[in-house]
Amino acid sequence: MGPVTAFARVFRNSYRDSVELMQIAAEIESLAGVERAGLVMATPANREVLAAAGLLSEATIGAGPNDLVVAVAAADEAVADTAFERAEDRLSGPGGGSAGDATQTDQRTIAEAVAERDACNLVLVSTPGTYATAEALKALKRGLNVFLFSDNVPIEDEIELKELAKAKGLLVMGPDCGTAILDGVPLGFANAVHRGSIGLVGASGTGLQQVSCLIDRDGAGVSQAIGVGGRDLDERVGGTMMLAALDRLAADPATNVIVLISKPPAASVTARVLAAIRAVGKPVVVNFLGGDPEAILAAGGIPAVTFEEAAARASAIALGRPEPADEAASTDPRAGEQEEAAARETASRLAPGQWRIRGLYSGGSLAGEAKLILTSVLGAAAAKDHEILDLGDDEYTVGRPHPMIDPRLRNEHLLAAAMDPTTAVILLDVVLGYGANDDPGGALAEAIADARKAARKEGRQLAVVASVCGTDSDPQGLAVQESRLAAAGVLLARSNARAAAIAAQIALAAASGVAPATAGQSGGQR
Amino acid sequence: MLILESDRTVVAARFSDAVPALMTRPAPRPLRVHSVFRSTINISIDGGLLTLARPEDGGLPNGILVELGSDHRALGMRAGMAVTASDGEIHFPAVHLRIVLPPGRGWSPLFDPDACRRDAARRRWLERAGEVRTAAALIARRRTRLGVGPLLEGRRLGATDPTSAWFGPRMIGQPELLARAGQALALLRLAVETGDEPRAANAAGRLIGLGPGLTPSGDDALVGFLAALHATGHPMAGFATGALGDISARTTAVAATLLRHAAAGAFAECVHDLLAGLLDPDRLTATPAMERAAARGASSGIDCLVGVLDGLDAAASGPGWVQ
Repeated sequence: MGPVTAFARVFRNSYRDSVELMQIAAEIESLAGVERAGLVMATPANREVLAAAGLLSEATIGAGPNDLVVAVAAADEAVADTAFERAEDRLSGPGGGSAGDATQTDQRTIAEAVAERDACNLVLVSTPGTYATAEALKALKRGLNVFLFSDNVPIEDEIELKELAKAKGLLVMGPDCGTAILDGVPLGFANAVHRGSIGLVGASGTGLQQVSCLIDRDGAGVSQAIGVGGRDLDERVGGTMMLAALDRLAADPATNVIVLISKPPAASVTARVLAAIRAVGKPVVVNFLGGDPEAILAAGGIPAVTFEEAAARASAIALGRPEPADEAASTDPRAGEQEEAAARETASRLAPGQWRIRGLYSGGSLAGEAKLILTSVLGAAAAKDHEILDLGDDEYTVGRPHPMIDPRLRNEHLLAAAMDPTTAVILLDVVLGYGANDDPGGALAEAIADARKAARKEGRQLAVVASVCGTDSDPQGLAVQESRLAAAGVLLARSNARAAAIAAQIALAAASGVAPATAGQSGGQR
Repeated sequence: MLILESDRTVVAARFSDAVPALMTRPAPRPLRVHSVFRSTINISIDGGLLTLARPEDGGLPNGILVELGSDHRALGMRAGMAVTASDGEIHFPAVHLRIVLPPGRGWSPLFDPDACRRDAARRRWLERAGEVRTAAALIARRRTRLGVGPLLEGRRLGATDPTSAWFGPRMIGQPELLARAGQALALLRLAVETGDEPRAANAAGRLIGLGPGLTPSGDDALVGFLAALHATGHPMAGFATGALGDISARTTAVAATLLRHAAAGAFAECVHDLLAGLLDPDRLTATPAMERAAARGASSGIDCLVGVLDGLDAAASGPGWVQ
């Protein structure tokens, strides 16, 4: 970009919280011709900082501490005016969407629904699997995209549906697709995340949820999150919908960065997806859990080992930072210095004979990621001795609600794990958002208290490590849920990967009988 | 928008003890709505603010806790709207809403003189300061990159740590914020440890209005620091009274109100809860208390926590804590 000039506009008596201001700034910075943008209250101290950043213009003379300054370094005045109009647009409303606008209607067939709403272009199918294919076919034949929440759809049906969709230029998200956010509308299990310029495609529901929540926490936002169903990258299905979604995001002007999330695809599908990445023309972050980073790099993609790293790398690109914000993006899944100190301290309270990690997961992809981290930190042979259960798997949910909805199944396992004298750490995921339990943290906190009591009776302490996948805008509220778990003595981590890394550190420390370390805890007096 | 046909009367859950006196002046007092947020409504009064907040958010100095739904912006109130306060009642005629104070005494935002002031509390703090800071740094890092939370990571990251954000996606002001806030807090600790009131006032002045947000990070940190001094009964707790000059010209109205209360020893219930947790005989209460404190605002809770920890360190280093 050529030379830029500082411009500013003052919005009198305008109040917004800092997260919202940062998001508006990110939106303005994405405009062509804008090099930098900042939104701050015009206090004398902040004006000094604006001046140090070269962003203090004459327009801010006379602005007071209750006025908001939108400062931009832009190529010319016309560009700056566009930026200010965008800011004004965002600042004029109360913020957030109006949930009360939706109207409730009563249609019984796809045809009736389409007749009622002629702009409709998507059908959500959530019938039992036996009927799902027929409903999805009806929708596709009418030229409608399909979000197929139903499971137990045979793979032959999936292939047929996806081939038809491909021929018609439509998307079939699923079957067994848990998560999508389309044009800001959450479908299935999804979180309330801010909109932005990162497009996600995932064959993994909780993977999509974890990445979208961490993107939101990094201050960036999501343009679209497209779930394709867990079997899409199977050799027989061929990644048809991941490729179709990738094409859509490549053509979407609101998407600047793309993230692909999946378990490692079949070899032939990998080759196809990597070839498509080469042709996209936008940065593509690829998180194929346990996949080969070299092949992704060779295809021009950006490999990410964990969901957290995928989110951090995409956010850094979307927000124009040269590097991800912190060691979140490190490919080294070991915990940081403070996590290690906390782990050593926790391990010091365990009794001899307590060594095993018991992961009780509600999200399948999160469980998969935890296994990967344990293998990486403890080594493949040692990791096998620990146990990571995916309680959302069909094996556990026959005739019972999914543990993201009903906590009872997991609570039973929690108590059983506590009774096992070898259990050192219980590792948990807590998934918030639309569709999930109203108060998963509260339900777990009670179960943890019971489990601890049972272990204490036998002279043992229990370490409980968890991460909460959610945002403060979710119906359950991230902060509220984290507070409940913290009050129950749970060691909380920012992401599932970090929680697993902490659990692994505790297991390592417990196995080596490490005494409480003092070196890592002596930083109190600066 | 919600349009009410006739006045709705809502009985408040709780109120701070200064509120009835504000409302029993010659009535009805004509007032104006200052600002409306998801969780609070501020009313301009006597150069400060009277705040209506949700019961679950806890008591505030000059605050009324009242259940008005999950998003106050949906009530149809706007800044500048007329309000009248009379004996025990606030009336918002434009949205047909009356809020009535319940009978009984209000909540006191002052610290209990005996709560945290004993030598035992000081010894507890000296024993656990290290592990509390480790936990605090983890909480801050997990919750937000905004504000002065990275200062909790100490010398290892220091004032030029590139991992935090201030304004804008490229975090333009961030190194400046951390450098300035870090220096001011160090100066403030030194001033309190050496009993130097003019130096403390100078250092506090450097924090005012500094940083992002509706309550700039520097103000939140200063409120936390003052809370630690007041909770421990430190002889320098009152240094900010009168020493900070015209705060309203230097920070936002919301922050200026909180600072004036803090200088006078009045703090939100969540700050009381934080200090009680940090100094409780059971050391396991510290982390949950910090988690609850950190959940407040985008970065306000963490910023306040930074100030509280520095304030406790400063108080514990000198002779002031033990009476």
